[in-house]
Amino acid sequence: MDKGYFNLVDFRANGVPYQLFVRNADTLLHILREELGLMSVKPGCENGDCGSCTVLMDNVPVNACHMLAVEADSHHITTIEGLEDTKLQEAFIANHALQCGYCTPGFILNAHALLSHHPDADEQKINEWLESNICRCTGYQEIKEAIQTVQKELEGNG
Amino acid sequence: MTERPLSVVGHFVTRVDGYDKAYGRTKYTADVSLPETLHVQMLTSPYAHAKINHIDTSRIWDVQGVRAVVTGNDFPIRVGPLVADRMPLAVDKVRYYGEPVALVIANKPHQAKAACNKIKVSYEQLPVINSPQEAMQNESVLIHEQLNDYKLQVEGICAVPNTNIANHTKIRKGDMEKGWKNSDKIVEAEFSFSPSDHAALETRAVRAEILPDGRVMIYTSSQGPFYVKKLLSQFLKIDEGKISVQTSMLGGAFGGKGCVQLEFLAYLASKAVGGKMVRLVNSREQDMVTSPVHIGLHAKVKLGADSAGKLQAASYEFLFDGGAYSDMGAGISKAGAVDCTGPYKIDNVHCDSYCMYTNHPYATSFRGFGHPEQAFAMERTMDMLAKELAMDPLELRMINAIKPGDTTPTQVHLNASNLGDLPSCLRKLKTLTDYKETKSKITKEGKIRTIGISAFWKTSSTPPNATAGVILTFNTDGSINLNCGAVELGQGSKTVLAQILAERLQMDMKKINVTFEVSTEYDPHQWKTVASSTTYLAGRAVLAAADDIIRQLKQIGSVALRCSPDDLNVGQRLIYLKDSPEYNMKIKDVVVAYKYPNGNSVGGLVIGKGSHVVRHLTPLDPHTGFGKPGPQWTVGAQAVETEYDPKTHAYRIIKAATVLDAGKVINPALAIGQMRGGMYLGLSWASRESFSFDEQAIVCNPSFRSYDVMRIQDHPDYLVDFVETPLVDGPYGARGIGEYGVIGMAGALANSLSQASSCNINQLPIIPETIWKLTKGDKQ
Amino acid sequence: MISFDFLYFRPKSVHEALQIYQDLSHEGLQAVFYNGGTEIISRARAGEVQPDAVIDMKGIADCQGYRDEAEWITIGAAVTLSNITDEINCFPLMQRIAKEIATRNARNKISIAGNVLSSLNYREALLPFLLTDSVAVVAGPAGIKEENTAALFANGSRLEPGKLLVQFKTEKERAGANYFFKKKTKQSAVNYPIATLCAMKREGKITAGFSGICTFPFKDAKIDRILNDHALTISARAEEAIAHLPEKMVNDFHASAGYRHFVLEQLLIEMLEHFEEVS
Repeated sequence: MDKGYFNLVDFRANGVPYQLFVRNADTLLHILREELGLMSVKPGCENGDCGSCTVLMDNVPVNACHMLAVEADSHHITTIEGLEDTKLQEAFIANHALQCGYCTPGFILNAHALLSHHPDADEQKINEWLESNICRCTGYQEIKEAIQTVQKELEGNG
Repeated sequence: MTERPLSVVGHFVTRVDGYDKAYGRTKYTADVSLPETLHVQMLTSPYAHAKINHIDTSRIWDVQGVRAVVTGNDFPIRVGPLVADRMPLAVDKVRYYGEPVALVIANKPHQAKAACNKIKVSYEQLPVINSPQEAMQNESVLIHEQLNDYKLQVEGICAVPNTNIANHTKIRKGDMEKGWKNSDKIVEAEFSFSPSDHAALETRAVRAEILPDGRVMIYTSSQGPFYVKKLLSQFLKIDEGKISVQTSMLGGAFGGKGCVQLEFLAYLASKAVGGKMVRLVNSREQDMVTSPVHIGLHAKVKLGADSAGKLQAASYEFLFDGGAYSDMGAGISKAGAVDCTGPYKIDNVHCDSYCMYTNHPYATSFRGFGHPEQAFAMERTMDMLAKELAMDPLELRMINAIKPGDTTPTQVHLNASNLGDLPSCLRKLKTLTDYKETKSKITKEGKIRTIGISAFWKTSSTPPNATAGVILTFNTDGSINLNCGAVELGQGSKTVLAQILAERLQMDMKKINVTFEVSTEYDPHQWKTVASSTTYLAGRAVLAAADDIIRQLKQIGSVALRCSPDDLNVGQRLIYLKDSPEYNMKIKDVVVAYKYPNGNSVGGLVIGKGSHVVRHLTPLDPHTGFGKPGPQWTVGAQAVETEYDPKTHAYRIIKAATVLDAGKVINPALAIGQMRGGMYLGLSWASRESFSFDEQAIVCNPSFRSYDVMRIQDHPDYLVDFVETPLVDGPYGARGIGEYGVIGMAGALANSLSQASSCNINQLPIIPETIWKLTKGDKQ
Repeated sequence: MISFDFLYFRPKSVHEALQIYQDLSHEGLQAVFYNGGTEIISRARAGEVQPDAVIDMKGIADCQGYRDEAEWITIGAAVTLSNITDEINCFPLMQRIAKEIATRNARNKISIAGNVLSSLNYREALLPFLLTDSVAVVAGPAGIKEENTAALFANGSRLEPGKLLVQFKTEKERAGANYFFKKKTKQSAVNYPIATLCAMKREGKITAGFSGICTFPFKDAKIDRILNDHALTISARAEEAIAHLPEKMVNDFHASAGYRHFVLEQLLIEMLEHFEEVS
């Protein structure tokens, strides 16, 4: 029985394999920021309420603050630094769907996962997924419009 | 001279910070993590009002990694922007739930937190003041026993010793007796709401370091880096030149990051560990209650009008809930007073506005600075008056709209430049919202659709010497670097300033590099980034700096092109002869000295500088309020359409509209974004955001789990339009616009729902339970 | 940030999990079983709990996934609420309830067991199991036992320390029954319920489950009898049901007891009318 307060975790972040000895009590948010330097993952509440620290675990959005780093073992984590498809980023800029930018990585990652699971998500589905994320600067409408712009683009290409 | 059509100002331009933000590359204060940084955690008070008998820190040393501890007695100096009434760490007693009591510095954040939990504080609970009314009535409980000894930091603050009054502003205009006599209809009402929060997503954060030669380095998420420097210098007795404050981008602010709080604590923490770099980051809970909040209010309003609906008299009593310390609350209570009437011509005005000390978290600026609060009370009363007069609410506002030639409550004479055009805003609002006089519509499902409107105005309560400055330098490719002390907090100031520069120099936006970070070391002084004043103050400074550049370029150009400077124009990255543009030279060839074909050089570096200061502002007369509080009044009109279910009292916000007289819209997309975001913040506040206090004044909901905010499914359709009445001395005629979207939302929402529910909704937040309580009236 | 340290175990079987728990107990160490873990993280950060060890159940096959067999649906205790919403179509009430808890991001992590065993009042995910008389599979020192959900969680009780929830088994025919569900919050949809009412009608009988109005979720035989008493008008049934709540209504900053009463009465009437229309 391992009685240590640390454990070795083996996971991929943005495709890069990492083996880290982490404190059991440290959250994934903490490790991504302080050990891996992935500062796009923003602490907003550390209580799973605001979505600012959204990351994708195996392409499923989760709050990195509500996950222990040890739980990431053998999983794939994606932060916005590792997002290769840039349509959403461009749409957020063009639609003025960001102001202070603090919630933006979380929104974009969540929207990315949404569109990869449900490319034809209707407004209700967009709401269902993105109600996880709080924005305090825009009116949310711009964010929805940015996502819908990308959906139209994808339809056009499909 | 015919004016050149504008090519950048007034046009859609992408944000200059858009890419960094969309790709997650923007670095906020807490995103910098340097090795060897030590971490600070705060121990905060579990009580709202209690004597501190003893603090035992002996057990903290059981925790590995602990380096130092700081308590109030290490720095028993009162600080504050208006009244110096707050010790950075509580001494002798705590006055609000969440007040900082001690700091622990450790190698790791969790160690510091574990050590905080080992500090034993022995408290003795005191009776609490749980509302501003109680603060006024209950003189047996004083929150600041030594108010008399406190140092007033600015002129015009009137704290009343042996009471809980932190500031009292009086407005006395005209003849009240006459006003009431001429009134055929008089309405009176009371309004109230609890403090709430800014809830910017980035919690406040600071790093501090004291270098061996005594220089103090502060990295902070502040709207006022220069203000941080000023207050630290004053209270720590360190020369300003020895203090460097740096601010990166802010993750939202909404007024809440204009206070100077954590900077003092971080300094004390660094000092306790021999000047090493320390880092202090608020948890969400601390950011909500330990750091300052959005002010609460209890108000009484009385309006009189003649039978035609012309306002004759208005009296107001505002009891702002400033919380345990006055911070900017004492300024907010003044700002609410100077614009108490809203944008209406009223000749007889009486206002007593108080900032009350209570045992609530203390208040600081919130987007709108006293105006969303004042406007809620006033705009509701206007609708009650309209009902009394059997008049359409929009018509009542139209016939009383303030115009050039009228005076403000503090008797400033208004003209066509320093006042926007409210009647035009109201007319546009009518079209924009398809406003009909038959107000309510019943849907098939039995729900009631109504539109509520509001009108607002605001001047920026800047100090009489508020300034901004700009320095422009060139790269050798002729592109330009814009350095300015304005902080980017999401509002888009950096983009707007670049646009103003591009316009003046007739230059491509791509050739302008804006420095995002602000450093008090190399940026020119700027008062603060608050009060919707950046476009005006820093915009004027940009114009001055651009003109300085143009003058220098023409000077060198005149030598090289062998003509008089007056013969030249600057634009399209060229200096050229006005009448024969084929005689020209590239700007890039002169900015680091012009080189003659033979190799000789003249001119040296072209560096532009410019600044601007507000003019002719005066402190208010303490007895009448007479004085000029701000440079100009932006006005606007708003509407909210709701669908209310009379059975459940639940409602949906369908539409929200703003028409603002922006003077000149510099960037339409950003301006629309500011209006939408302002409406959202106003609606979220009015419909759900509020702290709940228990009987002991403990905040029950200091987290997003139970502090309700609007989320994506709650947003209405936003409608935005502008009127453009130029402010003569504004850059390209622009007025301040940043705060305005928020101001009239609470009033418009409450007006819409009051119509729908047939009851006077005069308290916030308007949740279904609020309406249920009002509609059941005497039944219980 | 969690200020204290704990041990972390990831057993592969229920047996191993129980063994770890016992071993730790013998050493005087307090362990918690950890599924989604979101509440443990929140409470640990707030200093409300300080376990010496967490035993992560996500590696245990029996606690994962769901089986849709001829007569029974089996849902593992560590299954997330999002998995339920997205996949378990034969239990529509469960799907509906799961979808209204917290936010989607949170539901991607929150497990059934985490919600059912939560320290808070709400525990809405328990309601569908109560209404369907589901079986809770519970492991403890004495082995694995199948227990009646209603009895196990009566009056807000939770599991004894050292016991762990493995799965729920629900009769398929009951899971598919006609249902009513409504959650009312203070204002935003994302918040705790001030009143949640769900009900099922099977073989002509309504059975109702409540959350948010008392300090625990419940169904109550007496209330069910009242709701099915056709001698009474619908509003009389609603009023009578409220008079028989197992404890007095919660009165807190989310909602006053009076307002909860108002909301619940409307919900009960709406539910009764709904089933009247359906039948």
